[in-house]
Amino acid sequence: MAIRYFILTKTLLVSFLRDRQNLFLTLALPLVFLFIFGSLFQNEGQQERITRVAVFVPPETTSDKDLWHVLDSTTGLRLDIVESEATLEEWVSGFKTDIGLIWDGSALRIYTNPTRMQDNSYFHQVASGIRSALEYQRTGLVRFIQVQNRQVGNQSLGGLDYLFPGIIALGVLSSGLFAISSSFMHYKDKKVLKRLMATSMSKVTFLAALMTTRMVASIMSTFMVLAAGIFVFRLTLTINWVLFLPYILVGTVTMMGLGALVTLIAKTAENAIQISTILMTIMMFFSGIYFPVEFLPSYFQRVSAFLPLSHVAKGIRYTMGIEAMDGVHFFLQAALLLVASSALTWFVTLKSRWND
Amino acid sequence: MKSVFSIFWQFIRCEQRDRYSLFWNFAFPLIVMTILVLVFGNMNTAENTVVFQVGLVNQETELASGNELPVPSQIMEDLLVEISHGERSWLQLHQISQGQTIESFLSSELHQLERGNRHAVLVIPDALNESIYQEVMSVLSPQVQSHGGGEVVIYSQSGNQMSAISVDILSQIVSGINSQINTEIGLIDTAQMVDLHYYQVETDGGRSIPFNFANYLMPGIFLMVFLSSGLELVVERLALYRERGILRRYFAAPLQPAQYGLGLLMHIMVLSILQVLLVYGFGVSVFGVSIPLFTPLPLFYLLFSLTTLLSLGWLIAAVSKTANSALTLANALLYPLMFLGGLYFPVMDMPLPIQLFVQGNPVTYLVNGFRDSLGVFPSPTPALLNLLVPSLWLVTALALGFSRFKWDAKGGN
Repeated sequence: MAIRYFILTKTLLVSFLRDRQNLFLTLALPLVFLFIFGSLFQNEGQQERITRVAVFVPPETTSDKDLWHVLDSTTGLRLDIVESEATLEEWVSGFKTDIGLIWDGSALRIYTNPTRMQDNSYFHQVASGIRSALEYQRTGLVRFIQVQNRQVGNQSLGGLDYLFPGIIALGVLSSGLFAISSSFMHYKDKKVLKRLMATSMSKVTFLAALMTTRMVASIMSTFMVLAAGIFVFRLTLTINWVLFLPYILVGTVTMMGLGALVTLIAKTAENAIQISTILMTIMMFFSGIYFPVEFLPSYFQRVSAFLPLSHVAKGIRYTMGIEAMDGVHFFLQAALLLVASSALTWFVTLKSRWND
Repeated sequence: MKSVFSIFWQFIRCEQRDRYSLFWNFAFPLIVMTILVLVFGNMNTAENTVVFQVGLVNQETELASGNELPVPSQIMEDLLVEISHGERSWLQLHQISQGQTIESFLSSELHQLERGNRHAVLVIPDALNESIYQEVMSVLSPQVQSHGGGEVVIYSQSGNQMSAISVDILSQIVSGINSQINTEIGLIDTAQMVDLHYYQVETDGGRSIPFNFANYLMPGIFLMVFLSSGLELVVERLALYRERGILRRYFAAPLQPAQYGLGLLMHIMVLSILQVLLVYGFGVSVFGVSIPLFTPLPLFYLLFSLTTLLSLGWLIAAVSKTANSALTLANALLYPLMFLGGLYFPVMDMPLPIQLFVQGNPVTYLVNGFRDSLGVFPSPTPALLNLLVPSLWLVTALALGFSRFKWDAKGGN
């Protein structure tokens, strides 16, 4: 039995590596998303982030000395002086600057580009800081109450660190979900399973080999994303390997369970792939991978709580030291996902007819 | 022409029978639009639409100053409570419950913050009022020594965008109380205070049309469905049908390749018109989209985008030897072209290696030109390039496609 298992695992693995589409979905797609969203979120949360400020002071303004003093002494700003309000707006809308600032001697007018949704809250903080410093400079205002900011969690984390485990979860999702919904259904459609049933190969051996193949695929995808994160995006990760690696396998089995559910609805492998792709796309948006789910209305936030990808991404963040969670909660969640998904995969694949 | 119509009707019937195709072509764009408008549409106005979970730990025990001065800690707490009790408030305040000690409440709130259940925790320390009074006295009377005033602590979660916004809002509230104290004791000349006003750049050359994310997104959704037609439908109907021998059987019918191509083109055109009308109708009725779509320049951009993106599919089918490679190449290009073309969010400030892809991507220019023509946002790329770059892609793709595409999988022309 063990020999059959190893031979079949090797065959399925070779077949997986030869299938370019499958390979792309499992190994390349998470990397593509990492490069796209990694580049987008690279600046978020960085302490040394430079903000470009285009400044326009109308010629009739007499009191601009304080403003220049404040701007020159504020770190993290790159200043450009523009000659008119129209130019300033043009620079902001054309992405030549991050913030447009107009000072008329009594009020600061801050122009931002409304399409830069993910950056504007940061730019507003910068503008608010400039206003405070300017007011202090002009009025001699006494700060009777100071504000001390303290952060909990890993201080060096930025937006990309939060995104990164989500990308790993995406690889796990793709690898697990398509294992059953695509590969299993494909072998069934092509009568490969029927022929295998004619041999002494048991259903359990085949399923075990298929699961092993996809676990290897998940691990490969994870390491490729990790390597890209470390070497391309210079991420410094503190991974708890003892929890991380087993959790990747738990995540893969969880997604296989979801794939098993898909096979209950789909009639053919093609249908199963289409349903899985729809599921994957919807989960990508609702699982808080690319943006906080808090931005969604409360009813969509509740949907997010039911999606396995939300929980797997959270678990991966925990094992990478990015998100805090109670240890008991983590183990309980992992055990529940593992047991429920294994049972589902087992039941659906073994109880379904292989010789249709 | 009859053969062209036969092919066209056959594709329409296939489409109609296939529930998944119907979902992809008609329901999916609406789902994507809904999600993106709900998420990104809220980001610019997070303070107005999102509920921030803030823990308030008031450790102050001295509630009366014994003199005429107001009690700052109480002002701060009352203000936050008032905001949180407002109708559809952006603030959900978590305060100590009866029987709980201050220490255990603080510890539990920090625990909730670490686990992402709070966006910020504001701690008003004991003796804050005393410190503030002392500082006021030191300012008013030089004999009294200054101790630097009071200090409140705002805890936030590192790297969390919502947490950062909460800190900003709470800091502004504290800053307002500071200004109030300064004004009440006559320390500052209010005329010297600095007003801060936020504006968004105008979207339509001075006509002051306020920015609307649904309007901004709509051209992106149109191009998304065209990209999908070009890179999925065209590739599938050419490369996959060629490999399965379906095209060879068609051409034995007899049917000319040109007639098949025209039938396919007609099918995609009708499908695209239906998709555009559906997405537009949905946007108008659900999100109040208001764009002059049915005017010459936007219509030109619609057609120009469709032909350019279909030509990319034609090129992929032409250069790929097998259906598997064609579909993989199409999949590999679909997401970068889509996300790095600025269909959903701006990509003009991407870092250098990615910026090169953005600059060479025809979708970038098509969507910029399209948005500009609709007046939803001025194009960050020059108008000439918005026409030139996609045209270059179109001509190159058509030329290469015509010279390299083989209708027969075994290589016969």
